[in-house]
Amino acid sequence: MTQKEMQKRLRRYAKKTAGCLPAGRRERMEALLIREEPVRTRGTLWDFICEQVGYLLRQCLFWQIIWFVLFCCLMKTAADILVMISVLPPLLVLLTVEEITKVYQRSMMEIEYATRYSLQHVVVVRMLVLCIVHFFILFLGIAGLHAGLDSGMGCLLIYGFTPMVLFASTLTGLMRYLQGQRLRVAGMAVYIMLVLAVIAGKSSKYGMYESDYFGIWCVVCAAGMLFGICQFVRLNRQLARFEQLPG
Amino acid sequence: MIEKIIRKYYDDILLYCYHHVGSYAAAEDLCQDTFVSFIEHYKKFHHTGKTKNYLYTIAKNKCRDYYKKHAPVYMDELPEQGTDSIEEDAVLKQLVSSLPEELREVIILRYFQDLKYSDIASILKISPSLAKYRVKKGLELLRQ
Repeated sequence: MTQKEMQKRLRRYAKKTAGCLPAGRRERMEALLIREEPVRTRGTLWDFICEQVGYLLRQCLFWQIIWFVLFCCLMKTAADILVMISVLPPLLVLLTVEEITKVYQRSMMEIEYATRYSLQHVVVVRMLVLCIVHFFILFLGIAGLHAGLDSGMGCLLIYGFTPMVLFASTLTGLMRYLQGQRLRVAGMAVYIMLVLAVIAGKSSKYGMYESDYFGIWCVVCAAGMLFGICQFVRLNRQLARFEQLPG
Repeated sequence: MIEKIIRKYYDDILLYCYHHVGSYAAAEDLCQDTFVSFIEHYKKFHHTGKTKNYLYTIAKNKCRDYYKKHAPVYMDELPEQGTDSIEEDAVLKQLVSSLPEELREVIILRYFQDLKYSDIASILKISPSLAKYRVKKGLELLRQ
């Protein structure tokens, strides 16, 4: 008998026995369920936050490192640093946005957190964690750049953060309607439009990077933040309504 | 949450115990013991692997304890599909039961419980490559 034939026999036998389970097992299972004592969940809110940070670390760290290396390399070699500083930060958001709504229920702790803490909690915690991390990464990158450039630190921060804030706010709005791959595709489309807008803004026709327009940049950044907060609140409300649905 | 776990994995653990001990009556007892242990220890331990693998580990230990106390039963309820089929199944069951413990375990987990090598490795606390080797070795012995 060959190995494959033996494997087939074993699987055939397994299939037969699977169909022969005793009928009375349901009663014994129900007896077990009645016996089950109520169990307090083990995780605290801090454990939950640390678990989400750990999850994001596993899923996003690679892209964040790649982005940071790309940022440092392009800043040293790029002809137009101000365009790069505006165009690269939203890419960091785009690379990690899909992880915000993914749920991998593999371990018992994750199952417990998923049943105790809602999707709303998961999304909010992940968005806040990514927001803090990305701002920190960008700040670090720009602070490192500042030494070698004529522009002031404040200018660089505004040129870097404004497109990132606008992009993140738009994605937050899109998250109310799209998730996963669709969100990423829509995000890519928005990113391409943003890149084109930045390139057009840099041209001599518009000259958006001149010092005269700095005030407009600050206003746009503030408006973008307000827009982002509004979108976040709406998303939060939508997720809260989702949790109230029966079933 | 425990209710969901019990409903989801009860049949799998019952079949696993049956393949070890050869008797549905004993398998049901072992299955009950497995889930009772699971409920008791769930409060105390932090387990970060798959729930299913954790249950198989408990069931494996329960079956091992059962072996120490009882001789394995080879003949039990089998579907009536003709003499040849019953004999074939009985022979196969006896062959699997006669394998060395470590090979029997991987054969049951791989072919009767349809688990992946990574899960088998996690349950038995061995490497996936060692699990594959033991499956191959077990199949060779069964063919002889």
